[in-house]
Order: sequence, then C-alpha cells, then structure tokens
Amino acid sequence: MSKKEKKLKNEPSVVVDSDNQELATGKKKKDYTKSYFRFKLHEMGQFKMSYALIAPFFICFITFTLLPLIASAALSFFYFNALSLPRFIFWDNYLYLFVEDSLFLKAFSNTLYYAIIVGPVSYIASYFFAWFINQVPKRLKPLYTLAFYAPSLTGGVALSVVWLVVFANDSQGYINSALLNAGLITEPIQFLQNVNWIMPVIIIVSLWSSLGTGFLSFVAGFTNVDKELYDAAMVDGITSRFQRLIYIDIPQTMPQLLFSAVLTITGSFTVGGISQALVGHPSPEDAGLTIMLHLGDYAGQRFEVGYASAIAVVLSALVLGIGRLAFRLLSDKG
Amino acid sequence: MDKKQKRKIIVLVIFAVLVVAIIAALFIYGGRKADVKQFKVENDDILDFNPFADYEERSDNSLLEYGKVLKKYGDKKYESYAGEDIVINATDFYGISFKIDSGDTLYLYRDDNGEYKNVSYRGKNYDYGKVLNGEFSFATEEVVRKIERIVNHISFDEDYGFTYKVDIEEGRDENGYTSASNQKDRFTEASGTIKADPSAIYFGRNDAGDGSSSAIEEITFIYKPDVPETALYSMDVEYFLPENRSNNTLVRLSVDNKYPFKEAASIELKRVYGFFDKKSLDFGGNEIRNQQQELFMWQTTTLQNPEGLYRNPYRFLINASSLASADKPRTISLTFGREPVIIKTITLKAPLKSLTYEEYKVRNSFSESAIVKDGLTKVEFEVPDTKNTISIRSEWDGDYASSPASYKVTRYNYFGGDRWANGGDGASWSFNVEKDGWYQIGFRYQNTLTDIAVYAEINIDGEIPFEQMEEYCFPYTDGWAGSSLIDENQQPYYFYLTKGTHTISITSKVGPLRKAIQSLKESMDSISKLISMVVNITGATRSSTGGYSVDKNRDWDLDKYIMGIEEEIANYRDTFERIFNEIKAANGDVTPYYGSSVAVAKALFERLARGTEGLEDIPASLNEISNALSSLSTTLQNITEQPIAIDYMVIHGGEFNYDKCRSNGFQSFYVGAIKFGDSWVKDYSVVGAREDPSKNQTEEIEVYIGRGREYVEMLRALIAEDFTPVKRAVTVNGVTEEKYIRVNVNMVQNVEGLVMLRYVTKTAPDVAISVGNRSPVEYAARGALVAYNDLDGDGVEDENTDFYTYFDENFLPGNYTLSRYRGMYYTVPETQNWVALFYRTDIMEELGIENPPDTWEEVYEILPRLQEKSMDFCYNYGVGNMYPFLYQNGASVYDADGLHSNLDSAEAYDAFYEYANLYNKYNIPYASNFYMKFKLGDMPIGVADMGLYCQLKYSAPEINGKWAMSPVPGHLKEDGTVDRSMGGSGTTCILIRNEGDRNHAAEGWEFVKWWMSEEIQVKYAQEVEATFGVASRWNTANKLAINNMAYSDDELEVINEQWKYFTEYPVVLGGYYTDRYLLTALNQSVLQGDNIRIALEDAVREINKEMKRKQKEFFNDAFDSEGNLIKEDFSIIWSTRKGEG
Repeated sequence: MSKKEKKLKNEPSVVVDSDNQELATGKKKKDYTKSYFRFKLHEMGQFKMSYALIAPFFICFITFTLLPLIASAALSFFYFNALSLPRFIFWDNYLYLFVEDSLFLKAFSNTLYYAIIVGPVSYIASYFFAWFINQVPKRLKPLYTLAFYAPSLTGGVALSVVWLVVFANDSQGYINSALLNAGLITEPIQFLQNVNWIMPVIIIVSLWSSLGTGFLSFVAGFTNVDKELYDAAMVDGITSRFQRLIYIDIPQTMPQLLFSAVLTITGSFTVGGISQALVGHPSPEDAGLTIMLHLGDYAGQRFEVGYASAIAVVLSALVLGIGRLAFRLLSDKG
Repeated sequence: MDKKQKRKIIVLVIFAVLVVAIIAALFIYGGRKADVKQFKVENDDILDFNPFADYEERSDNSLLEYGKVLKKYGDKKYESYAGEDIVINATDFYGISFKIDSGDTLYLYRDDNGEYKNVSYRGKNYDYGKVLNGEFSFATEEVVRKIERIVNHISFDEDYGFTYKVDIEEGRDENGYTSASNQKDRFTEASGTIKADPSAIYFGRNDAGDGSSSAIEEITFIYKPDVPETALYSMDVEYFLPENRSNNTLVRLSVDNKYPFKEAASIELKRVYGFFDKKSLDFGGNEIRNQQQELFMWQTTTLQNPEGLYRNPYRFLINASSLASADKPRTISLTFGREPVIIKTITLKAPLKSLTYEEYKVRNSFSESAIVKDGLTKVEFEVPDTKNTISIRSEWDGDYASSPASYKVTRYNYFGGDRWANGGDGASWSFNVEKDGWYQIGFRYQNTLTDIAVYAEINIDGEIPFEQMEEYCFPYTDGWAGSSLIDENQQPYYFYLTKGTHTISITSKVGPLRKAIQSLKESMDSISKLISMVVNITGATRSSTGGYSVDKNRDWDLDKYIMGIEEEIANYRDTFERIFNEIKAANGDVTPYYGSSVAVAKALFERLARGTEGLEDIPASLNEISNALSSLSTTLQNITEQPIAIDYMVIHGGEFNYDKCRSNGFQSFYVGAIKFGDSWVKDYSVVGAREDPSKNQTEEIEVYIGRGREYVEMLRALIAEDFTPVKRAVTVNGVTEEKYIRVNVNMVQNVEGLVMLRYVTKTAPDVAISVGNRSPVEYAARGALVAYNDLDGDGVEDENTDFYTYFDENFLPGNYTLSRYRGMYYTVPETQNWVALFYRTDIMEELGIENPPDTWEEVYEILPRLQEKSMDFCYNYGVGNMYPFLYQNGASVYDADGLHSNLDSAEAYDAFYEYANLYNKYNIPYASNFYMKFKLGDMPIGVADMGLYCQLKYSAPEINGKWAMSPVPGHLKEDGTVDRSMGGSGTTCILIRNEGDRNHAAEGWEFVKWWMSEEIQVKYAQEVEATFGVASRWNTANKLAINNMAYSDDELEVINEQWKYFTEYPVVLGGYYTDRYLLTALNQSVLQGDNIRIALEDAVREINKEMKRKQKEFFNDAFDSEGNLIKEDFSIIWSTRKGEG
C-alpha cells in the first residue's frame, strides 16, 4: 500500500480518501479505465510479487503446454511430415479422420470402452480408499497412503514387467499356471494375444495403478475437513460413519472431487503407454489400439504430424467437453 | 525450559544420533574385516576309475560315467603306469587312414622298411603294389586312382616334416576327381616364426581359404606305441598352432581304433595369447586397451578336459605291445578335427600324483624360521604374460582400494571379471622373489557373481605344488577382498620359492560341482525319457506352444505300464536333494541363484513321490515336469560359470594386512562423490579418441554410430590409422580434389531419431552408420538423405558415379532392393545376418536321416520321424519367416512399380497357405528357445541366423563337432535347382542431406567406401573378435570380407550358397502396413483358424488403402480427384515406370 500512497501523494489535485475513492478521484479513475488493458496492467502492477512467484510455472506452462496446443491446433490444418515445410490443406485431415480412417473408430471405441470402465471405477475407488485411510489411526496413514499410491509411481513399463509375468501367455504365467493347476482350463489362455482378452487385461492393470494424484488429493481433502463439524453433527444426531461420509465428508471435499474428476477424465482418455507395454504396438488385430497410440503411430511411424495434430485436437476437444460436463455436474451439487 | 526449547533439543539430539549412526554404518559396512572364510567340501571323490579291457567300440560315455560303469565290474584292476616316459615321435607313424568324400575309409599301413604295403579299402586288404599294377581285377580304376592320388601326395617336407596334400575341388571330373593339372598344394605357409622341425607332422586341411572343400574328409595318423605294460597312462602332446582363424584346435584321439570315452573325440589344443607392451592413452588421459596378439610357439600339454571338469588330466588305458596280434594291432590314432596343428611328439607318461601339503613341506624342509618376513612382493595382475583364451582381458574398476587406483579416467587395473567364468580358461604371470624361503601367496580378488565360490588350479613354475592347489577354492566375498591361500582351518599355506623369477598360472576349474553337473545331465536325460513314455501311455497331445494336454478326468495306473516308476520317481527326488546339497556345499553352505530350479525340481518330485497318489499326479503334471526340465537346462549352463576378478597378488611372510584390500565406507563415498561430479563434465562420446575432436573442425565430417563404446573406440583407432592419414580424391561439382578428411565419430544411443532431430534443426551429421535397413527410404522419400548415385543432390543421377561398381563388387545384389527409392540408391549395407539350417549330425544319424533336407518337401518328410521321438523342427512363427515362402513361390510382395500390394495373387495365396500349414498341419512349434533345445537335442534341426552360430560356438562346447549347417530348405524349381530365397536382418550406412557449406556428401561417400571396403571390414572383424571373442563375430555385409573371417570352409560354403539367394522385398511408400496386416492375417488364419483367403484379402485391402494414401501424399499430381492414377510412367521403385523384368 505504501507505494500507492506515495504515488497518490505526488498528485497534487488528488484528495486522499481511501473510503470513497470513486468520488474523490474522478479524474484519476478515468485515467486507469481509459483502456481495459491499461487498467489490468495497473492492477497487475499492484501484485508484482505474486506474479513473479507464479512466473516459473506460467512460463513453462505457456511454452510447453499452451503454445504446443495452439501450434498443434494450427498444424491440424496443414500437411506436415516433420522434415519438410508444412503445406496448408484446410480440413482434409479432419475429413480423412472422420470419414475414411477406420482405425480411428477402433481406437476411439477402445478408448471409450477403457474410459467408461476405468474412469468411474478408479474415481470411486480413489475416493473410497482415501476415505478408508482417513479412518485408520493417524500413525498408519502415511504407510497406507504409500502402499496405495506406489503402483502409480512405478510407471507403465515397470508395471508391465510385473503384469506381463502374471498374464503371460504360456503355462508359466501366474494366472495360467494357477488355473491349470486348479484344473479349470486345459490350455493356457493367450491373455496378451487373444483379441477378446486384451482390453480387459489392460483395464485390470490400469485399475491397479490408477490411485494416483487424484487419490492423494482426496487423502489431503479428508484431512482438511474441520473436525468440529463432526462434533456438531453428532449433536445433530448423526450416528454412523456412513452418514458422516454422506453429510459431511463429500460436501466438504467437493473441490478435491472436482480436481480428481478432471485428472481421471484426462488420464483415462489419454491411455496408451500401458497398452503398448502390455500387448505391444501394433497389437494383435489392433485390439489394444487407443487414440493416443493411433496418434503416436501417425506422428512417429508415418511422419504425418499434421494428421496426428488433428487427432490430438479431437482428443483435446473430447477431454475438454467431458471435463466441462463433470465440472457442471459437481459444481451444481456444491 | 519451555516446550519449544525442549522440542528443539529433542530434534538436535535425534539429528546427532542420526549422524553418528550414518558414520557408524559407513565404518561397519566398509571397514569390516575381509571375511574370506575357507570351507571344506565333503565327499568330493577325486575322479578315480577302474576300467576293464573290453569296453565299447565307440563309447559315448563321458569319463565319469565310464568310471562309474566300470566300477561295477571292478574285479579287474589296472594300476597307473609308473615307469619312464614313452615318447612317440611324429615320424613313428605306422599307418594313415583317409576318409574319402564318398564316406569310405582307406587305410595305408607301412611295413618295417617304411614302405606302404597294405591297403585296406571297403573292408578288404590289398597289397598296395599289386593294386597299382592292376593285378586285382576287381579293384576298379576308381580305387586305383584314389590311392594313387593320395600316396603321391604324402611326402616329407623340409619345413614341416610330414605333410600330405590333397586336391581341391575345382574342375573335378565326372567321377569326382580332379585331373593332375588342377592339383595344388592346399596349405598356406605358416608364418616365418615357426622353427622348422622335420620330425613334426603338419596336421590339418583346407586352410587355403578359397571356399572349396577337399576330396579327403578326414585323415588319421596311426602310431604303434612300444608299451611295456597294460596300465593307465597320461598323455602329453607337443604341438604348434600355425596362424589361422582364431578357433581352438580340435583333434580326436582313439586308442586301438576306439574312442576310450566321449571326451576323447574332442580334444582341444589351446592357443596362447600375449599382449603388446605399449600402453597408450587417449587425449583425455583414458587408457586405451592393450592390443592382444597370438603367440606362436611350441607347447606341451597334458591331455585333459578343456572345460576343467575333472580334477586330474585324462588317463588312458593302453595295452601292452605284447598283447598285439596281426589282426589286432595296438595303436594310438590322432584324427584331424578342426584347424591345422603341427604335432611333434606324443608322450605316454606315468599319471602325476600330487604331493600332499605335508609331503610338500617335508620335501622342501619347512621350518617356521624359514618363513621370509621381509620380502613383500606385490604383483599387478592386469596384464598377464600369457593367457589361453581370447576373451578374458584386463578391466577397470574405480574402487578406492584398487591398484593402481583411478576413479576418473580409465586405467585397466584388474584381470578377469565376468568373462573369466568358464573352466579351462586361465592365464599366467611371472614374478620375482628376492630370497629363498617360505612364503604365503595372497590375492585381492572378487567373485563377480553373488554367492558363487570359484575353483581354480594354481600352478607354480609348471607344477602343481600340492594337491590342495589342484582345485583351490576362492570363497565368495561380498565385493573386493584379500586373502592368502588358506586351508579349511583358515591357516595359510606356505610355498617354497627360490630366489629368482617364477611363473604362476591360474586356470579355472569346475570343482566339486562336477558331480552335480553329471547327475543333473543324467537325470534330465532319463526324465525326458520318462515324459515320452508317459505321453505314449496317456496319449497326451502336444499343442503348438509345447504344452501337453492330458485327459484330466481319468486316472492312469502308471505303475502297471512302466516298470519301477515309483522307485524311479523316488530316485529323482533323492537325486535332486543330493544335487541341491552338493551345490550348497560347493559354494560354502549357501545356495547360489541357480539353486532355485533344483529346489523346484526337488519339491516337484517330492510331491510326485507320495506313493500311488503321487503317481496319479504325473500325467497332469507333465507340463510342470517339462518346465522344470527347461529351467534345469538353464541351470546346467549357469552352474559352470564361476567368474573371478583378480587385482593383484602379494607374496609375503604373513606381514601383509589384507584389510587394505577393501575400501571403507568413507573411501567408497569419496570415490562415488568424485565419480558423480565427474559424470557432469566427462564427455563419454569421445573416450578413446586419440585427438580432441573439437579441434580442427574445418575439413571434418561427422559420423553417428549407435554401438557400444568398444566398437566405437575400434572404429576411431582404424580411422586414425588408416583413413585420415591418406589423401582421398573427392569430387564436388565435377572438380576432383585430393584432400585429407577428418572424421568426428559420435557415439549416440538412438541414431535414427537423433539424426532426424538434427536434420530438422539443420545441424545434421554427414554420415550415419548402424542404421536400420528399412527406415532410410522413409527418410529419403522426405528429402532428408543424399542418394549415393546422386551426390550433388540435383535429383538426376550423377554422370560418373562409381556407386554401382563399388556395390556390385562388395555386396549382394539383393541389397539393391532395400536401397532403392524411385531409381535412387540411399543405403549401403553395413551388417547382414546370414541364415542357415542348423542340424545335429549325431541325432540325424540316430534317426537315419542321411542328408539335411534340401527342400521344404524333404522337411515335411522327416517331420514325422522327428515328432515320433518328441523332437521338433524349429522355424519360428512370424512375418519375417513368411516372406521366404513368398519369394520361393514366385510371388512378389508388391507390383513392379511398388504401387499395389501383390499379396492377392495366386502365388501369394499358395505361399501363405503353405506357411500357415507349417503350424496348422505339421504342428511345428510357434516359438521356442532354439539354442537350448538344440543343445539338449529336443530340436535337432531348424532354421536360424548367425546369432545361434555364435552362441553355439561360444557356449556349447559339449556339442562341438556334433552339429553342422546347410543352406536353408527351399523349393525345387523346374530346372532342378533349389530356390532358397530368404532375407536377413542388417544395418546400413546413410548420407544425410546438408545444405551449403555443411554439405559433405562427397566426403561422406569416401568414408562409407573406405569403411565398407573388404580390407577394413576384415581388419575390424578381427579386432572385434580379438576383443569379444567368437560370441560377437562381426556380421559384415561385405561378401568378400566374410571369406576372410574365422569360418571354416564348410561353413563359408553354406553361407555363400545361401547368400546367392539373398532376397528382400522393396521398401515402398506405406509399406509398413504390409508387415502389420500380414501378421494380422497370419494370426487370424493360424492362431484363430479363420479362412485364409478372407484374411489375406482383408489384409490386401488395408495395405492398398494405406499405400494409395501415402502415394497421394507425396505425388498428389499423379492422381485425379477420384484417386485414379493419371500419370503415365509412374513408379515408386523406379524413377519412371519400367516394364516387367
């Protein structure tokens, strides 16, 4: 405030009246509002420190997320093979994508199949486990949190090393071997070859590793719930933990619910690495093909960066749309 | 004191305790005493066998089995010979036998005057003179000519003593013989360092290296030893190995025309290697590996197991000469096996019996006062005087306590490590002792595999001092440690050393594990027999993945069908338990990593040995048993690996403190910190460069290579030695200029990706090697590459291009296909894996299969014979293995212009059908570990590439001489020849397009020409093999260079024959879809049993769609708006459309 005061003092015609500035500094106000931009700039000047603090993230965000996003949106109207100059082709990429590319449909349906199951299940599981962890004694909390969070840390490839053994196609795979020993099957199931098994396997593995950042935010959210509310609720007649969950915990953790929902949606629509690590790319009959892999295939293998950008744009729009929907649903309740 | 302060103090105390704990931990961890604890292995019976006179004609028993079998008949005992040495000179041979190419054996015997008199051919004895005079009417002219040809060529040579000469194959007449004018000496001259000795025998064949094979398959020299008594003898051979391909030499030794035991049929004579003295550093101060060289010298060796399996050398039962009769002469024969050798003498000796330590002490009059306490001698071990195998070498370890220590720059400071793992490998060092007296001998060493004790023979001045040194055990230590040679009571052994120079040799041995190995082999053999019996009884079927399926709802009374199965199973249980305990005992009461598979087998048979209940489980457990078997076979391979690294040796009287052999925690921490800091600064890509590549950037081309550091170092050395110092004629824009070209070799991880990224930023390197062979065309289509026949890059072929002559001369014509895009050539092949049919000769013989199959029809014929013995043919499932069927059926993958897939042709359907039938109808396994199964004999035949060859050569000595190669089976063509068309994976060299001043395409081409020339490829291949051994033989694509590599002539013949048919399909726009959809079609029709035609048609539709899309992407003006081709002479493969053929 001191700087502002100084500035104001230097203006002889201004009467210092902080309570009723509008009235007192009619001339001044005009200055700042001459243009919206200038006004904003002035406003920003007042929070220099805050802007400096968010600058590192903001610069990174702009250079590595926003600009590529814009560039990709622009490139989707070009033919670009990564090595020579882009050529403008208007909407040809989109035309091909929606009309001719039969594999995209396959990728789309696989991704949707995946997202519809993994999204809600992992979301609910995250919330449930976070709630569950909130019930255990305080000292054990970090242990449980780590145990649940660890799988998502190990990364797609590391998981697959474990799961590849579990689901191995030969009789030495854990599941096959167990089933064979139990006499339930006579021949090993080709989990990673059989078209019907590929998506379920990918989904199982994904679910196992899906307790990620969203889950952590839930855990944090539960800790933030004001304990006095519980006491108040007791007085009001709440008796069970379940009631507490419904009437206090869920409303109180709405911001985390929203945050986690966005993460889950993005995560489940951009699946790819796990599929590639488990069944390879191209997978048998493209049964493990997802939009992300389809995109990577065009960008990396076929050098059609323009087309890949178009896929990326569609994917972004999809994620954004469903994200908005989730936003609306959850913020309505809140 | 308020709460805050209290908390502060608590935090401080906790912090202090933590610091102290960390310091203590560092001390305890690092500073702990070198805990080398010797142990004793009980019941390790020293191999002692007791043969009787009439053993089997050609015994397949190994020495151990042999001794065991004979013990049962142990009524007749033979003593070891104890008399004077009996020396047989090379000139004392009594007869020679030749195995002629027809398979017949011809014997020639000398009479007392040294004249050849008796000829034995096809079981009949003839008088040599009479045959020649034609007096035997039934001796055909053929026989006479054969004999003539051989006898005329046996002579005494002034340089090599006895030699024989054979004819080469060129210009053979219809009977298979050459005319006299074509006869030629088959031997290359051995190098001039050989001391001429007229009494030695030059023993070998076919090292002319011209790719032809001789008319004589095998030659045997037969000696009549003058033996006073029937007894056990050990045998010394004095030999010289002339310069040759670096394989070890193999001879077969038989006594009285029989191999006494299995190992006698493959006796290995080892080579000797030394090092050049000079040590050199690169510009960054890193040591460059010392070059090794083979030493050519006369050596005497006592015949023993080459893998160090037995404690003592072989003992041969040799009958007294007095027992000989005319029809049963007592002889010793040496047969040529592999690589030439000059043999001077064979000596029959009394088997050596080592002294006990007590005897040794008494003999050299040990007394406490004679221990020298002030004569500490430290001997660095990194460079031995000699070593007997090419692959062990000095290595660098940045440990604080290493000697000489070096943490930042490379200093090779120890010998051995992971490569010194196999029995029989060893080296020797010389050292000096100042005073006569008794010393302890100690080492700073490390067993590089966890929990594995290492056994080695320690030999001082050519003698084993006392019996404990025959197989001394280096107990496992966690990390580097030091210890004297100690007995099981941890007391050091003392050695008597005189003043002067001594030599110590350390040779790896298998040690007490040999019994476990033997029982493992035996039980695995009999278990697989048991499996096949159970399969026969239960009618279990075997799926393509190799699994068994049995009717699980039925109980089988196996004990009714298989005699004594219950005892057998119980027996296996006991055997595995014993093996497990033996493995544990031999490693000092710990179980090393490979023990788990034995434990699993033990548990399995414990379960199956529960009486009737267990027996009922057997059919359902077939898969489990066969899995256990396959992991046991891996164990069998691992069990003999006992790697050891030795830093230095100390000779002292007990005053040396071994604690300094191990660095403590602070030291490790210090070294780690320095290394970590250094890792930010050090540029690993230039390690090994003699000059700083950042200087003199002006006339320099940049080369990217994606190989390991050693490979790059070798390339750099070659460039510095051979490329840069020579002026090269470079033509740019029609102007030829002679100039020196500097090369900056950059080692990168992902060559293709990095090259493209740098191309986009306009800082691309000029040349990239080790690039895949299908991707370059993709880059070329996008303008990133320079065509070899268009160096100026104007899109029109250069007028005076020397590309075609160079390519024709050095590479297979099939490589053009991979290099071509629209009439331009973008790649020069660099490496190329050859493929061949590998087969086990012994098993083929057993099965009565005379010749390896030449065509697929012949494969189908032998398949039932294999399968009824539960054996299989290996041809792995995949698209790569499907293409040969296309080529051989006359189907092309694309049309002549590369515009459409041609897989919908009738030929392609036939090919596809035939390939799918391999799995559907003939039921060969989809994928299998061919190497393992080939070794075990489960898959005695199959198609594989040179990777298998290297593996077999390197790590399957037990089947040495029992396998062979032939060209891949093909399809019989109408003209009677066999079409064996097949491709092979490989890498290529590419030139990257740079504009303006950065354009060095012409210089790049000079570099590629130099690099892929025959001379440089041979040199490089030799270097690689000298550094890494046969396991990483350089797979050059140069068709001339491969003939100068360490393959035998037979192998080269196979490789060259197969390379004649090297075929690949062109790389076209959108071609990557072919692999993908062909695999999908295969999966659908083979794995899921869908209709082949529908699967193939679906694939073709998808492939064509993608190809069309890609063509439109690049050549939009060639198509109209409907997508129809409108351009007249349009072709993806050629620059313009070319007609058929």
